[in-house]
Amino acid sequence: MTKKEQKLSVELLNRLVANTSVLLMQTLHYHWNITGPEFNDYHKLLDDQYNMLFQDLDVVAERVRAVGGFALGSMKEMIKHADLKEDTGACPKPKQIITNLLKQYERHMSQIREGIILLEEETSDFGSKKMLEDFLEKYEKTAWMFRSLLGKQ
Amino acid sequence: MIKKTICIIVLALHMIPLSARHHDKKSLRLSKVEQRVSTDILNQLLANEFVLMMQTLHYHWNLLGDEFHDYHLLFDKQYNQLFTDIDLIAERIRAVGGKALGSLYDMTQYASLKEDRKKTPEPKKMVHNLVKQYEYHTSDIRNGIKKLDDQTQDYGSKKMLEDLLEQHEKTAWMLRLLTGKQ
Repeated sequence: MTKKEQKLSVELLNRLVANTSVLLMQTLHYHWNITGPEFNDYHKLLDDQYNMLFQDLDVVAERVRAVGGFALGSMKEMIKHADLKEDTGACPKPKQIITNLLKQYERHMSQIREGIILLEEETSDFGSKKMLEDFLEKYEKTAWMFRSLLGKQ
Repeated sequence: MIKKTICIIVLALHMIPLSARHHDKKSLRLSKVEQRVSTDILNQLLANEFVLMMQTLHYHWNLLGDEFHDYHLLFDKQYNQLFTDIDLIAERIRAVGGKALGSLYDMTQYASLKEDRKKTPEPKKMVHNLVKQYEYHTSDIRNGIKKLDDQTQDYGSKKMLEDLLEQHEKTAWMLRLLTGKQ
């Protein structure tokens, strides 16, 4: 890949690293601080999801290295580079937790979709594109589960 | 007959001094003050663990040199351990009645450890930095244990911190060996 292609892929993937970190932290936050009759059910659901996000974080960061860049390496940088805003407030009610997470996943997926288009139009980085497509498919499934919990189609 | 029995029970209940019953009810959980002391200690350690985990991930990803494969695998093991510890500490905070920190921003604010924002330090420097961080962190854990002992009856958290201390001391020792020190 050319230097220009590398730069584009690295920037895009690092934003994904940052967004994944925010999503991971938010899921942990809700996993820990949730209260109410749904506690056990959601606590376990969010457990599965943060473990998935933690694995994804490593996969994206190692991809940054594989295309020739350096991965973001501190929380301050993660916050700075993320499109997603953190929930720094107290833990919301269970329904609101699901609504908040669904919104975050939708923002995250829209960034991934834009990333796929960008990689396709301006680079030949097929490896990263394929990786983003895998993430997209997986997160779309998660978003569907959240929508179902909210009684939406 | 039933009426008489009920009367006796009610009378017997009233004979227990109110203060004693009140005390029994209260002593079942840690006091509010104890809860706050424990939560503060544990949240600060939680934030430190986050800094340590992020730094280990950083080095795991951005390492260059002959040691790459060896250290990459070593750091892999260590960040996974830290991630397990993070969940354990946060759930302990909930168990003692507090709220766990819930954002990266809060973690950076509460941590006593500073983040390493250098792009890619030399492998030797990475190990050196981690040893230092573990030493700061274990010293915070020791202070936490002392404070819990002095100010609370939170033996559960104390025991957890002792386990954590033992584990981190082992990690620090292994990292120190890599730097050629005893």
